[in-house]
Amino acid sequence: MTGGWIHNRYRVVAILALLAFGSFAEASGAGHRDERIEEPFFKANQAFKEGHFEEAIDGYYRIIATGHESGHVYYNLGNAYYRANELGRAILNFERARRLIPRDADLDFNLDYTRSQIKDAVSDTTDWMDSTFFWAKRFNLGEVFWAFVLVNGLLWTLLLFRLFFKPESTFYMTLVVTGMWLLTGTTLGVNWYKTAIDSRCVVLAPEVDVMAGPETKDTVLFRLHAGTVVENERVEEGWALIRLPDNKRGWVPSGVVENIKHVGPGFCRDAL
Amino acid sequence: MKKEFIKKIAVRFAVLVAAIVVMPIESVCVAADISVSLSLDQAKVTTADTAKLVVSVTGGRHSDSDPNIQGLDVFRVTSGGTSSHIEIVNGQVTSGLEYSYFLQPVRTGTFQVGPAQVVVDGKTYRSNAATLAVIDTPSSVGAKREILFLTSTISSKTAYLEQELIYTVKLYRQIRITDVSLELPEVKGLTFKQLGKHSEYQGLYNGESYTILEVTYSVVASKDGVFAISPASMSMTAHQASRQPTWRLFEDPFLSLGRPVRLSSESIELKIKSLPQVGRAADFSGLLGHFKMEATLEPQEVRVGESATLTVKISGRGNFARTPDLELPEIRQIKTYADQPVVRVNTDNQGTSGTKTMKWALVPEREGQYQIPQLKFSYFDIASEQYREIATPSFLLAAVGSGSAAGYSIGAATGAGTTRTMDAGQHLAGRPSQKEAIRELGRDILPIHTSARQLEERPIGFGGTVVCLLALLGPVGLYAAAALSMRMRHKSVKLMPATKSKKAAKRFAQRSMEPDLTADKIVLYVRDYLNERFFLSLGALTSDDARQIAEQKGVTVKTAEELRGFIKSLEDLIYTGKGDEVSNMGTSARELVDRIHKEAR
Repeated sequence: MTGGWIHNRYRVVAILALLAFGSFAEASGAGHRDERIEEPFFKANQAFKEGHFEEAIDGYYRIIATGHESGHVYYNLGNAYYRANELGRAILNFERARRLIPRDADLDFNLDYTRSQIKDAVSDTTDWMDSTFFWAKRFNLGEVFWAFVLVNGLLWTLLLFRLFFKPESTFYMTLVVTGMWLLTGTTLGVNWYKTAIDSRCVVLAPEVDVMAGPETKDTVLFRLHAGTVVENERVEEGWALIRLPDNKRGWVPSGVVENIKHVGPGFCRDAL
Repeated sequence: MKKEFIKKIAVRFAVLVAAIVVMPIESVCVAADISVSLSLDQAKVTTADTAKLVVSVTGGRHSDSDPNIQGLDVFRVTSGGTSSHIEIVNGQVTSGLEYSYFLQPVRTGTFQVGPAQVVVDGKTYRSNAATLAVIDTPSSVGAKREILFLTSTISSKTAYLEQELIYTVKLYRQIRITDVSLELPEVKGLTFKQLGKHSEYQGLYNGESYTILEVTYSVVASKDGVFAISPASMSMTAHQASRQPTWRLFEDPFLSLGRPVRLSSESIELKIKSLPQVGRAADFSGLLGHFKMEATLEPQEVRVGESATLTVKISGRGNFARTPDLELPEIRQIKTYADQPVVRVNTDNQGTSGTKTMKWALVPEREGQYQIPQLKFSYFDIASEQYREIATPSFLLAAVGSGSAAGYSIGAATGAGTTRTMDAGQHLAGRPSQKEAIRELGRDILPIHTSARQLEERPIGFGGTVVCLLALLGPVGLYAAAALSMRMRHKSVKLMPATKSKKAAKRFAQRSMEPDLTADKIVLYVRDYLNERFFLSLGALTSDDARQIAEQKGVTVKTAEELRGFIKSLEDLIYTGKGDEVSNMGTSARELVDRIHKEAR
């Protein structure tokens, strides 16, 4: 009876371990190509190559509208807007691409290059969280999340294993995995927080007066130009209260700025 | 002398004034005879000519109505206007009225024109009649032509079905014309379509200079056979300045006379034949003319997942609408995306020409070399009267891995397949020793991403919130479930003896309360109790066994002895046949078992 019970334990552990990994392995899933968007992607690229930038822009937006928000599509959209001489929208879409493909070298280059063309001298907004968790911005929220899911699954699988068997090696393994769990968990928390509170927006108009109040007859405090990234504190009756990194604040018509973060279909709607 | 001259002038002046002032009473002053005459400017005309008819009313300056002229049924009549005049001859004043008409014959023959009847002051006056002979328009080939004539020609009098022919109508003129309108022949089975706008230029015909108005049409036959293209007709007003001086008052000598003219060209016989069957391909599209096809593939080397563009352009002249949409066959390991064909059609005085551009995006899915199949189509070349097939050149598309990049290696492969590495000194020989700093000559953004593989990278939110929560909390839940079930199992194993023990005593108590209790049943129940309570497997129970077991399990000697005595008494009852007489023994048994339960370990 005892031998049968031990045999059963192995079987139980194996099944539970498989379930533990299987759930998140299936959910994280290897990437698969959505063939529905390949053709419009190629057609939009072809239009771009032939110089029909407006047509390319329409094509990329159609892909985004299907729910497939790819960083590369935003990148191409940024390129198309740049070629169509809309610096503000180019930077807006490059910033959106950076949230999805933060390590893309082409994107880094293009964003740096387009930023160098902004007329306003505005510094980057960084805080203690960016300095402390400097690696967090090199990964997008999805990557960090699934990394955490993987480490989480590994940790609980080890703990599950240790319920039945307690070799010494599993103790040290559990310690290491716990450390990884804390690291990925913290990174996830930081990324999630940053994504949730991201209120940055980009000035789209070639030039806009920033007013002291939400009225056209109010005093003009300063002037901003296309491509400048500012914080959007709130929107009231068609006016947006914006803030610069040096804490200068003022009101602009809400139509001349657009938030970098926009709600898309899918997961983490609250965070997004 | 002087006085006589002045007197003569004064008289003439007075007469002139009198003629003007007293005009209403001229009918009294002038001769009272009214006469009507009819005249034609020509006695013989062709069907293309126009004759001028004049009805003159002499002796009157008005008529009650327009003249009624007989014999005009066989003509197209156009009014040439009305004029009146006054003549003063030797002091005699005469007046008159003229009605002009232009007659265009509709058929050949000899016709009587007139007489004309005119009513003047209620009295009817008749004119004379005139004869007009109408003959066919003579052939114009090689003959000296008039100052105005019309020709029509066709590019070929023999053609194939759906072959585009050029029908040209030319008006030659040496005089001014206005109000020009053209009537094309209507032929069943032939479709006329104007090519471009008409043109006007100076040209020579039989050595004479003419202003030529030219209009071209494409003609396409929809069935085979022989067609008679009737003459084209052109109507216009021809203006020819009058060569005769006139002294008639109130008639502007500088106005040119405008006559309506109707011209006809020649008729043409056209023979249309069907396309030959010999040499005709099964998939022949019906295209006739002359065509060529160009194709390009760019780039010819791509990375896996990136696209190359195959562009095919068909251009030519003929029935361009029949140009087929070429279909690229399926190529293994290559995805193809066809673009909408772009068609441009032009028409000029030589016919219809056009270009059709078709594009395909080719995306290789794996590394390798891919043969792009040729695209072909056939057409009927009118010049050589043969079917021709044209095809695109054969292209090779190379797909390299996404990680590798085409580049140049220092080593070179020999024919035997080994690699020869150049000597280091050899390789570096000739390199400049002075290095230059790299100067930035320009800046621009990097190009777009084109690989479909990059679309594989899923964005945030793959799977949905439920899946993500499951993935996150699933392992935790599993661990919790496993830990909980283990704990419960452990607990139940630990508690098993106590549980079993409790159950045994409880079970014995229930059994001992049965109404039909007998001595052997009690012994049996005690045996079962001991088995369950102490995990034994006793078959038969004797009194001594019972005492021994009780003592071993920690029960006091007294209780063990009591148990032995109880069992013994039950045995006595059984062996003496009084097993049914166990009235209170059930209660005793329960009490005894309770004590055993409490005392046992």
